[in-house]
Amino acid sequence: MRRRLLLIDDEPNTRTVYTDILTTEGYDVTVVPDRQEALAAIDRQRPDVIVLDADSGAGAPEVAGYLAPWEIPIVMIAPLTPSRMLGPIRGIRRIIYKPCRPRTLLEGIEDVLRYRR
Amino acid sequence: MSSATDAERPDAPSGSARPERFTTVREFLHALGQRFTYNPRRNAYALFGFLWGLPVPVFSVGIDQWASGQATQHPIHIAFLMHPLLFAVIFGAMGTVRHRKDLQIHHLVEELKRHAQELGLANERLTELDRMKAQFMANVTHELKTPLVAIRGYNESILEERFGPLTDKQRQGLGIAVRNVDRLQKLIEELLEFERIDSGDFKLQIADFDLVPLVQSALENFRPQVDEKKLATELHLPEKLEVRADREKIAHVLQNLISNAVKFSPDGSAIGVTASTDASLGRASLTVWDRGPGIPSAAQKFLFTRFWQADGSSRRKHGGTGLGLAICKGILDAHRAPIQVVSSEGNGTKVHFSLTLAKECPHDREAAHSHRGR
Repeated sequence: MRRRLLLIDDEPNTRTVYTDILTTEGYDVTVVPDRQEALAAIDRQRPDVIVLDADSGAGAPEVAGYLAPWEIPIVMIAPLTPSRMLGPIRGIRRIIYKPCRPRTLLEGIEDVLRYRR
Repeated sequence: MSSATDAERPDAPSGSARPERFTTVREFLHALGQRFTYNPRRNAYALFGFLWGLPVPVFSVGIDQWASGQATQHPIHIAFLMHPLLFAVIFGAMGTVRHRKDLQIHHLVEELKRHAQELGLANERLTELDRMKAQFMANVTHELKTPLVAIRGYNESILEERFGPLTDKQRQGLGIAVRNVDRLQKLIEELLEFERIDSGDFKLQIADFDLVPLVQSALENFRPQVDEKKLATELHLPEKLEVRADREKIAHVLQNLISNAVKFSPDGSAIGVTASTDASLGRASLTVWDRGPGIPSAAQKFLFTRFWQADGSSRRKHGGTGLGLAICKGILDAHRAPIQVVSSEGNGTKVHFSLTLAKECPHDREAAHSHRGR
């Protein structure tokens, strides 16, 4: 059974990259640009993991906090030098720094899923 | 009246080696000649002088005439009669001098006010520029990195044959593309890091840590280049060297210094890192050395200048932004740690810097304090 993944990213360039990488890796990917759409997507079909891009205008930490009640593991992709200090945020299991190798992102997601099981 | 103010003036022109009295006299004489300069003070002073001078002829010539009952024609009477006029002139001159000084002061004050205003404006502009720069940096960071994500992501995915098999030539070409993306990314990171350090926009996270594994791993990062150039590496380090500093930043410093050592060593040469401690001073000294071409003494004062590279042609050969040493200096300055480069042309280069030792025992800490005399 293919694992469902929800990608939240508002930057069209990086959206395509991640979608391609994740789809070819075998995930069932749903892409949304912001948290409203994310909520709608979660309602329609609950994903196994959420991948959140920290640069998205939504403001990653707030989105993560917003989605925390659903208890879905979140992997956050953050820039190497964050403009804001990010403390430990409930719900975020892994932080991957970008630009990253596809391998790194995939292994991070694998780890998070494996640990959850 | 004037000597006092002359003495108080802090910025008396240094050209006047002559005593202050002369300046006053010169001003006075000059004022005497200023007959046609109108100023209210002059008239009042002249009138005052005239009145002051009147008693002299009145009491000398007048009494003399009254006593003797006739107008005596003594030559000295003429001098006495001139007395009020003389006084009027002298006092008038004093008044002119006073007036001119007042005007000078007034002009100076006006100028000061103008300058203060200009400074205020300039300061505002600077603050605005600073704010704009910070905003720019934040934007640029994002804008530079976002395309890199896409470029890198697809390059590496295709290279992993994620979208289908590759021919050898395709794989080779993509490999070069990926390496260049890496290089570009490093340059951008370096530039952004430098910008942050330059503007002092970072905080040190001081902790106690062992320097030895840090040196070793920094050296390991350059293992491919070291092997390629067949460089010998000599490490003279104690078993354990606990220092108190920002671990990540010092790692960065070591990376930069070792990178330079490797970059500028000819094939078959040697590089090394030496460490020693001075417990009485509470400091650990490190030296990163190489046997490369060295730095001519004329160039040494520019070493830590940003973007500066000793030899223009080396930029094409070695690449780099010329920011490595500037970043090191910035980091070590923030630690208040000294850094020094000892080098001469043809004799290799040694870079020394020192850090504070981590103190285990409070007794040691006190001893170190008293030794350092802080």
